[in-house]
Amino acid sequence: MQKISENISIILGASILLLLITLFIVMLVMAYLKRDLKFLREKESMEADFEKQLLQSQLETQEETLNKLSTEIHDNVGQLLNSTKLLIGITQRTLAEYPDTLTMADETLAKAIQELRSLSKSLNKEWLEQFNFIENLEAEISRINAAKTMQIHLSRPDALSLKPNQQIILFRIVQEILQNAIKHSRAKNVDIRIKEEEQLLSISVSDDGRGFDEKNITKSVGILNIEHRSHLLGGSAQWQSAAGSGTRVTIQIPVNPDKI
Amino acid sequence: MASLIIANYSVYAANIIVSFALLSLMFYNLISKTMNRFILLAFAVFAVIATISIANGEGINTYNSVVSAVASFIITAYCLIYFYWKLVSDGRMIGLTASSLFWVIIGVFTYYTGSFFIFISYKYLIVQEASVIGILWRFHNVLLTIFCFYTIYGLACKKYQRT
Repeated sequence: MQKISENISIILGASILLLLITLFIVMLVMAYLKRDLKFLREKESMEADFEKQLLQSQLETQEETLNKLSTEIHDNVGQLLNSTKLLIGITQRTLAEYPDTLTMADETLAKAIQELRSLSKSLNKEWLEQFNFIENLEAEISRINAAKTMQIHLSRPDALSLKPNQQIILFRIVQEILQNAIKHSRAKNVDIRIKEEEQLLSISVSDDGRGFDEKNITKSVGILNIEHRSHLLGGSAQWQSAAGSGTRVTIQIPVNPDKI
Repeated sequence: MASLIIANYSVYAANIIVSFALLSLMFYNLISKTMNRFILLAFAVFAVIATISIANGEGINTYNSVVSAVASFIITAYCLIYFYWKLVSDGRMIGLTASSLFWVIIGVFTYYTGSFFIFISYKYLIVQEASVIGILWRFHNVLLTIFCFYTIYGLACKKYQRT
């Protein structure tokens, strides 16, 4: 066996020392990266939680406003219309013969009172909480169909596997989409298709209205609300439209109890 | 037969110069513009030292320790600058360990740093300790193998990402 000289030993020792130093530096870099990655993940998680809480509080504020509006409609405007209807009834009883216009006014007033009651209910969270999403949606559809400006057709499963608070948020999303259709689309027909497959709830709302050019559209508060609510449910909202070709809004929500 | 035996020292010299040039180009493209000034300066210093060493000093017919050692030293500095820049200055370090280049650079760092003393002393030792110098070259081969393992790990196990 060859005898290693002192020179070779020194060089070999120094090289091994340098190799160990490089290994130490590599380990240091890896540890730093690991620590930083952990910190960044924690930060992202905290930011996501904060955003979710902010979104939640915004939606709660909106719900409070809607509740207040619902109470005002029911207790104030509703009562005034009821009093008016009562006065018309008294007038009818005091007259031996009364004109047809008075009868028509009485009937119109009855419709208005009924419409306001329905509207008040659809805005009131406490009322909605008594029913599931499907029941609330059917009531909303009946209310809109009664106005006869558009016809809404619903295709749905028997029930949804969502928690009650999630069902209210989902109802608000569909309600907002329908309101947009009423206000902007000039549609005659709206199709709502709801299906739940492989832990994914999919709701498609399509109308035969005038549509819009996706490139030139700016996001309204309504659209932003739909997106925020969908994100809060851990899902997404997508719009497909072209001028003159109607609009399709697709909401996809993962059916996972841990998401909210 | 003896006339067919050609010393391969010139190939070693060419190898280290080409390797240095390619690695300089790689780090030049990787590191930020501010840091690139250092690479240009280091490249110029290496070019001057290599030219002087080859033209007036050790030449290419014997092992050129100066060129190898300077290249090794500067490449080690490139690697340290890269790590510093990635960890301190550059914010895009998420997924750095998933990058092929990261592992290749770790391999380069290990090989050139570990080989520095071998390169710098080789010319002296080949004269003084010719009979036992093989052990140093075997250690150098171990370092080269480590470099190859890091590179294979980077290329085979990690997705390619330019970071």
